[in-house]
Amino acid sequence: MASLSRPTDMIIQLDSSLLEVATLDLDGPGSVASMLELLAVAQREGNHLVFAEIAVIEGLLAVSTNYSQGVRSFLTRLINKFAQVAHLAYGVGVKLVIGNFEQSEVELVGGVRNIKYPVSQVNSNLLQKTIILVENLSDASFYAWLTEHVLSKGDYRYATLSMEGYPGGGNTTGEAYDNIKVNHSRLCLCIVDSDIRVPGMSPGDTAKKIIASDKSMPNTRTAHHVIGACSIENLVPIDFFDKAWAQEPELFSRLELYRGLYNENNWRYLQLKKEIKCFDINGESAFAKYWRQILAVDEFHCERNGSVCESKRDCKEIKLPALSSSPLNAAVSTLGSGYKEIAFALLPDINDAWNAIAREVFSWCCGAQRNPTG
Amino acid sequence: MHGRSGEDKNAGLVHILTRFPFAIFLQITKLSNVGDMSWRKTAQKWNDRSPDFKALKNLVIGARFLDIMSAINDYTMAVLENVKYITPLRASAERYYRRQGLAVDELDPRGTNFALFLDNMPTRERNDFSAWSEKFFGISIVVEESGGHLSLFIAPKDSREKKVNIADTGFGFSQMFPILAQLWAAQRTKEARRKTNIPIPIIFAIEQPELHLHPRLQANLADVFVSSIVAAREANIDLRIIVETHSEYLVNRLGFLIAKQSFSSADASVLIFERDSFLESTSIRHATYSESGYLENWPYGFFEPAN
Repeated sequence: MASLSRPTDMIIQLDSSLLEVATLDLDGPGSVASMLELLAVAQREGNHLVFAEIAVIEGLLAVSTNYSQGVRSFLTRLINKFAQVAHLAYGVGVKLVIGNFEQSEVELVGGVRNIKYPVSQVNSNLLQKTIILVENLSDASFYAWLTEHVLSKGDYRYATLSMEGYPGGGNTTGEAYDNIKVNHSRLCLCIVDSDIRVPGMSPGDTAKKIIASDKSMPNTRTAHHVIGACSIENLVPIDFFDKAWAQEPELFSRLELYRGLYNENNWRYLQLKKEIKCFDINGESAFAKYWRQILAVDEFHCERNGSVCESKRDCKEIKLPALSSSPLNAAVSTLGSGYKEIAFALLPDINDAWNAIAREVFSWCCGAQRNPTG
Repeated sequence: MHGRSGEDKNAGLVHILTRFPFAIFLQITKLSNVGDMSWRKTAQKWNDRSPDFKALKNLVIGARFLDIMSAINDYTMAVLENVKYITPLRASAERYYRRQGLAVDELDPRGTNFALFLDNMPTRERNDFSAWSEKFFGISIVVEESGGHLSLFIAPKDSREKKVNIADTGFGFSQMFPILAQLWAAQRTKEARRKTNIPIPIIFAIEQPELHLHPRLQANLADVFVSSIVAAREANIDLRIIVETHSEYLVNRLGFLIAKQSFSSADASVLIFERDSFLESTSIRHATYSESGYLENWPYGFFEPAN
């Protein structure tokens, strides 16, 4: 069963360098006081988990004559929560560190991604929930569910996720990602399908755009993750389709066709939403050679009829029908009934893909419970 | 021993070997007045891992088995007899308590005899207890007698003249004072020892001390526990407190006190009883405090409601 072995959640940490400027500025945008007001609200709304060393908090409180009651209460709460939060904070994989820095930069220390962020640049936008940029909103629901499931088996079973799904619209996800970088100041994790349909193949166009964007236009507030499967549907355990289509004979019979392919190394490359035609596996392309072997196809009707189809559209011979036009929606519809009610086992490589996604989502979206009293 | 050694010498060896602590057993076997020449020649070559020494030690353990079990039994009995238990639902406050002519030097688990217990204290000790309470909770407590009845009054630190009958205050105070009184008394207990002079710990088992208390006072309970243990230790009393609690404030405050070096991290830990559903068995997780006061092996979010 999938589980996270190492804490990798992102939290916001107040750096000790804040004490250098806490006494200098009184209030106003970009000041420590203003930043703390924003953080207090973010914590109250459950958007992020905030941590600081006791000495830093006490240092801030010592110069806090201009702080509001809300900020003082927020800082006191940080001290009170220290015992429970510190262990998490010391072992995190990604951290937004707010301090007296000149510019925002990423510092990698012992495998931890510290996003150093100048206090002068902190605004309410930055402290909103982290955006999960995906192709469709249902993808975000599934990733959140998947992450909660992975966490439910480990030390972070009681952790709270805080995120806002953002639909990139399929192949326009790359443009949406650039737009978030340029026109927003929010934290963003972009998760895209790999579209890899054959071992050794390069990622598809959408993933390529995202990867290229982070190379040409890196941003400390954003990161991407290309999933370890062709598409999100490949991550759905087959037991979910069993349950979703139990009363739909046609879909269920198609599922039977796929059952033989539900094994490690093959399932993750399957295009579940598209059929494989004779045309697709005829020829010497990597896709044709790989799937011809997997599907054990030795009869090419198109050729036998005297001519090879000139295009996929002309080809009428379907070697493997599409599982469904929207298998994810079927799976997502079963999530509401609770994963604990569906016993399932993941294929080893899919299990790895789940863990990798959960690690990233938890990294960027670890929140706190809403706390109206501050 | 040599075959020609006399019975007296053999008996003398057995006598010595079966009367000394096992911690110095190896040294005993090598003493110059133990055994005969043959024994001493052999024993001088022994160390803890020598097969002959280990075989001898096992024989002596076997011979002294009943003594050992008896000592364990005595100690266990003494420890268990010294356990003080405080129930989760303690007695509610009453306006008057009938004064009895009995000496009450121990509280019952529900604290129903708290007024009598306080009344029975020497005046100086009673005042000290009140000051102790004031130190942690900002409230002093006094017992007053009127017409053969006792009443408990509490007063805020900064306004002692505004005393209020405990029956007219929040329910939490009546729940808290029996705990405070027990711990106060424990710090002053004469050190309990069993026959062999091994100190016997005083163990307090307190169920949900936080009931009916304001969160700030719940946190202050941690200060009381730490202070009691430290004070007892200074008086050579091995006071140990086992608390069954659902109070996040208490757990957090303990970490803070450790961070502030008011208490050693080695002296506190948290056992978490977890299970996913009623159908599953409970597992016990052992979380410890670091020297910086944070919890290790702590299930983050344990106190938070499920979404």
